[in-house]
Amino acid sequence: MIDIKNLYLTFGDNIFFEDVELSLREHKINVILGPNGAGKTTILKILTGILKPDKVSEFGLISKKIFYLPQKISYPKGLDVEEYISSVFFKDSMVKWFLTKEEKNRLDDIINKLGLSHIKNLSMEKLSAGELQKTNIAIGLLSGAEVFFLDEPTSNMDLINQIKILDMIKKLTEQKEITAVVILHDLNLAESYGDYFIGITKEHKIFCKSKEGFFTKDMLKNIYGINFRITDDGERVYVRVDK
Amino acid sequence: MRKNKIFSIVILLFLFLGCFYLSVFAGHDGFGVDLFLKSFQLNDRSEDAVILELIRYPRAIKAIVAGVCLALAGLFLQTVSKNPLAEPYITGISSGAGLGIVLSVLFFNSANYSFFGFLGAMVSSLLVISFAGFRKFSITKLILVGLSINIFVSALISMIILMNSEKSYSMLYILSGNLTENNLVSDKHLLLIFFVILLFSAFLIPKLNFLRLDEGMVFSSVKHKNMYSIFFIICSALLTSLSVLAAGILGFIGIIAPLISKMIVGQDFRYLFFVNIFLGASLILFADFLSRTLIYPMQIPLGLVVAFIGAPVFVFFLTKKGDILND
Repeated sequence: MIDIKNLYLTFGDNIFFEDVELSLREHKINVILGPNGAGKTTILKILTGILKPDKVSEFGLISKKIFYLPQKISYPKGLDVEEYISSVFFKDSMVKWFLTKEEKNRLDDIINKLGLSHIKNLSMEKLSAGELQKTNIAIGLLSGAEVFFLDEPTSNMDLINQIKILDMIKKLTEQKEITAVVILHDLNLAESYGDYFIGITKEHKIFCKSKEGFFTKDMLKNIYGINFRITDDGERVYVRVDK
Repeated sequence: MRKNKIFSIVILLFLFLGCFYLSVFAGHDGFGVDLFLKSFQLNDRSEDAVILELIRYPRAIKAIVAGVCLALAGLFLQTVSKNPLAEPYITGISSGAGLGIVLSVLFFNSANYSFFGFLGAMVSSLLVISFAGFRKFSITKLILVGLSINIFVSALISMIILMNSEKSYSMLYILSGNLTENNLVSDKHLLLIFFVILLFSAFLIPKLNFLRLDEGMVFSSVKHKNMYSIFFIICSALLTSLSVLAAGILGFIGIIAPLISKMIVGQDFRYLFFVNIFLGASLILFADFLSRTLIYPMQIPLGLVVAFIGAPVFVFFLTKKGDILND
């Protein structure tokens, strides 16, 4: 469990987060949900250290190695998949001209593991949205990060690619390689892949719940301000908007 | 893929050697093969040997220094700013150098003007970088501050030229860019500074392989990405100022050399480094050859020749492989 306690954030005179408390489960998929403008990306930016809060009494991420993948990113041109992923090896050392043998092996391992080996020499411009996202996850893994912050990692993808990416993230958390903190919009996808849920309301109140606690009529109404119909077929829970 | 890239570097190396040959040995009377062969004789005190030693070699060295510096500076700035239009003079250097040159013509009758250009370049780039701010640094701010200073100082330069009509011809001629003589900094010192900065850049360049990743990605061990950016910008300001010292103000090379190199070899900066410096040097050496021979015995200002050959070459590459620059 990674805890964050007594978090305050103001923009000018406007109080955005007031005495917020939240916790993340390690080696699980933590899903952040909420309407537009609630502060999903803002909380992600605070957790990754991009945005400094005004006050925080406990910040459990301080000793963790993190990787933040924003929603929209641009790709350098004229690189193949292998070259793109290998960019991360030039991260730490000031002077480095060549990859070590060990780094080359790790690169090969990750490419095989994420199922990119058949396209490793293809140029980045030719990849699908799902394949592009896999290369970014590969970069995160090679950076040695333990906690992955992913801002809508499956936006602009068709259903099959969404599932492929989320399956992969799920597998990585189950193998205890990473802790994932993911912003998602699709409640049903969130329900099937998420382990632990952080709901943010329009008033910037934060609720941290397990799956059972989160997918209730009251909780969802609290967060989104509209009524939902929840069906439980014994195997899993389905969410629909109640008109 | 890797073999192709090494092959590109070798081709560019030969292009560079070819242009060096043209710049040093060829003249209006031919391609100078006999001159080339004679240059291997020791203790040759003939007129030809003196021309080579006193005029041609120093010119070629300055062309190489200017070409390499501008190409590298452009590569740094384009990568750090992720903007293909970024050029070495963005940081206010061209106008600063121009002001230095114009003032030196005005007060010292154009003696050592490139040294004053160098001083002006250093001062203006330092000014722009510090206005852009070290703590809350942003590349957009840098570009806009640089633009403003460029416009302000350019107006100042125009004023000075207009108000001193008797010297305006020599001012305009010098501002067009030339491989020049100056007595304050000898060629040896120029080369020494050049090699130090080049070596430094060679060590740093693979870091750009990391900086090519989207800047929105955050890794916990990299807290000061801005630091690297500022570092590369200061480095490119130094390189550009050095190019002013060698050749005055030469526009365009700093934009096209890195872009053409990217189209040739892609974005692995370890390969790009070599392709880029060979290409930058080749372009200026070849332009120098043309500027001396095209309408002999007149010399066309080097900066103009660079524009004349640079623009068509660049457009040619754009139509062939311009896709690589699209977003």
